[in-house]
Amino acid sequence: MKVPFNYLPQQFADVEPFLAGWRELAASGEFTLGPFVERFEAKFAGYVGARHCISTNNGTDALILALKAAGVGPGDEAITAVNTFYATAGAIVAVGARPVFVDCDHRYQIDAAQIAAAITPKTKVILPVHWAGASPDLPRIVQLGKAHGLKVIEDACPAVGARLGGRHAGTFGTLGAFSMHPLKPLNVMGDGGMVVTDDDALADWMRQYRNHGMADRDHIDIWGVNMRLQPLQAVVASRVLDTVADLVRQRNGNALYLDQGLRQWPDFVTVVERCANHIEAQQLYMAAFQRRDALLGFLISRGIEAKVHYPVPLHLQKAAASLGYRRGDFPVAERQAAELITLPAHQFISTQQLDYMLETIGEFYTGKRSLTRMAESVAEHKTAETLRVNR
Amino acid sequence: MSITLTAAHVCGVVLLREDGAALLQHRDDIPGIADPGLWVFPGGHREADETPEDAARREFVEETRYRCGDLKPLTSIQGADWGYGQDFQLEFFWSRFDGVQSYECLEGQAVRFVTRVEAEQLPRCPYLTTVWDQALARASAPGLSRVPYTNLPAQISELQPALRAAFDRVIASGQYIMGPRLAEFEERFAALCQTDFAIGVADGTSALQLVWQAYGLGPGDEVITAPNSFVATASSIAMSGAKPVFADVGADLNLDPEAVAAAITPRTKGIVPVHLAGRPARMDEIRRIAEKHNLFVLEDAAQAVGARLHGKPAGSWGNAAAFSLHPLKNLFAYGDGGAIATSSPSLKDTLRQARNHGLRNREQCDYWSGNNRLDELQAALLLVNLGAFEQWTERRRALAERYHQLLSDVVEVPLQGPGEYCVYQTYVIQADHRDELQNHLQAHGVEALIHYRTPLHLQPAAANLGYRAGDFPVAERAAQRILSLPLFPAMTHAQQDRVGELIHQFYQRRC
Repeated sequence: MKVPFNYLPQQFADVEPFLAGWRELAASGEFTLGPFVERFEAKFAGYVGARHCISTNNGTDALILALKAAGVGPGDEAITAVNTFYATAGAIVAVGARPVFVDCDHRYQIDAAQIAAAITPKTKVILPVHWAGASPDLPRIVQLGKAHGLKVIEDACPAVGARLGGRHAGTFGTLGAFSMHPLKPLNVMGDGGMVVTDDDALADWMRQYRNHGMADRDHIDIWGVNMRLQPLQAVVASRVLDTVADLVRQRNGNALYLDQGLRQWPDFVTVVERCANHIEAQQLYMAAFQRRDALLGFLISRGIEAKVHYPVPLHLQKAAASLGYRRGDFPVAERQAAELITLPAHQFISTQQLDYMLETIGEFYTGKRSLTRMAESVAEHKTAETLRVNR
Repeated sequence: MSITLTAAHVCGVVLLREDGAALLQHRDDIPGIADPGLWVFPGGHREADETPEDAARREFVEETRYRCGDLKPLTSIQGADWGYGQDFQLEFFWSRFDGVQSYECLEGQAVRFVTRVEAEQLPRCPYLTTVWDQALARASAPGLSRVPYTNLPAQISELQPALRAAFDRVIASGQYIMGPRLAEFEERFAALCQTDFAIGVADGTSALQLVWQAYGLGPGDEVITAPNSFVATASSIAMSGAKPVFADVGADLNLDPEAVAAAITPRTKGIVPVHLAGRPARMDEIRRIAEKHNLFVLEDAAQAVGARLHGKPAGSWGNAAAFSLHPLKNLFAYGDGGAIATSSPSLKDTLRQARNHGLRNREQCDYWSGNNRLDELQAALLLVNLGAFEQWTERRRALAERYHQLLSDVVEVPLQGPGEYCVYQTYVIQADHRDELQNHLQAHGVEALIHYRTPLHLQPAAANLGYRAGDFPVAERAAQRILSLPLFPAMTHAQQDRVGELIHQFYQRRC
């Protein structure tokens, strides 16, 4: 059996609805921002519950734009998670600031309790990450920011569809950045991203900066850049946004099923704890496994496209050499980097594929494919289904 | 007598026929427009299921807007911007109305707006006798009288099946980021530029920025460039922390090599010659200067895919070249896109990595960098467009030649210089009374634009660079005189003749 990580051909099997939107776009000739982009921005702002959405060319640009808007520049420090995608640190460096890393907790989220210790007189912002589509303790981080007079910018790149206590990821801080990369919960057929904020002045500034600093076609108040979302992708995003609630529900059903299945082997597998008042976007389904590299090879040999996000934490990358960190500085992230595996748990994974993954993992650790366990698994699936429906 | 009209005054349009008869199209006579003071038109844009009547109304609104281009609506259009959105309401009144103004129709009739008092003295024409019928005729045969700045749908109509097939292949592959189509596009684009490598990037601005990032440009450095360019030429230098230093242009509106030489200081690190409007800059001379002073040459070839000087393509002269593949460019993606051409292997490696987070591979990040990738989908569509590119360029050049003949007696036309092969990304004339000419063309449905109205050194963003009006007389004079006429591969000779007629008409009237 094959268990693919990439679901894009299935998701976009029927392209006709998108083509209809594109024909309208082509007829209008509005290929630079314009009404298609504006409509998507209004729709997304409404979806997350923010006053403004400023779309960008990708998630990295969204982070850079948010950092610039917050006034982060040379000499400043930005505190962020050490277990994140390279772009989080890349964006901080792109505005001339220095990334200051904080270790993560057992939920793979930035450890809110350790942030205070990282604050220095140079700290300008706290940049928590919604890693893998889940959320850190944002109320606590926002409170900490307030106490120290620091803005909070959320890297919510993987987290469209994630909520804490009913409130959408990216709307806790002054600014929130999102990505629409093809393997994000809200995806486009290429790169795309956006920033949300409730602040009118920041929104105005970002709109101008992202389009060459143009006040209008003939006037340039500030040197700016081109970070525009392609209208073609705005058409895609507008349609896909309608499906996000469903796919998040399906992914959480799959995650719950895998959680329960994997708990059969507590000696070998550590399943993440889920918070009651969080809805996770389940961009990546991750768990910690003993003998990770051997298991990973075994899964891949059995047609399961498992991955690792990522084997080397940011502070140990060559790019971080000048930041002065060493192995041992972030023990939790370092241990997780050696144990994590990401299993395919997206909306197109079937119950059979979930069972197959669990069986294969069981076989790796116990040496046999257990029928009993499979039966248990089916029973548990029923429970998971019930939870999924009731959610 | 000059009167000021308000919403309450205007009640319709008057049609003046060639025989002199004046007829009033009273708004009360147009069905569905009962609400006094407000004319309501459904449907902002042409829908697939739009009825001919709806299309006629929309055309009517648009025509009127073109004819009254120099009047400001009293309130902004409600609902959405022109041409889009759901139903919108058009407040058909204008904030200022000096006397009774006439606007000549394309068919030799005049339309003017009248007050209620005037209207009472005019015979009313029945529902839509003239304007409506014309609009209806136009809706069924679009594009005859109006000359848009570009017409992408017509240009790509023959490519539709190939574009669709390319699109389907990418979608089915599941690889939407940096796949085989991007690699293929880069190879073919490099061949077009006659460079060893090309790197696909997100847009033309990113192309400029990435090269400077890879070069290591920073505070304290200076780069010389032209003041009559798109803002990205200068902003890409300024964003790195370096200082853009402007040098005036020559009669060809491209960098004057002598002015470049005069602007060199010990801090100068590079030169950015711009191939404005698809015309190659004097690269042979600029390169000699650069070699003498050991300067890095980054060609801003954003408007010049396919242009050549002495047979050598734009993009192959400098250390690197930045191209834009925006939909208004002569080789274009269906959204923002860009490319860098270079023959330096080390620069190529740095740029490939820099556009993708500084990643050596999925797991190893050598240096922090952003995301400036060209989408796989756009690369696939660009490959299809590349197949038609030569034909498009020939068509542009033929149309430019035709414009030269139509216009050279009344305005300054952009002739090719010796050794130049211009691709006419924009057809820029230089004209006396430019603003009035532009208004005249726009009032008659010809979209003529200005690239660019304000030179870069006079923009607010450049305030701290210390330049003043008068510093670059050639560029500043040109900024008052330049006008970009519609020129696109799908343009018809009839459309071109129409533009020619209008321009001649404008200057005849002024005599």
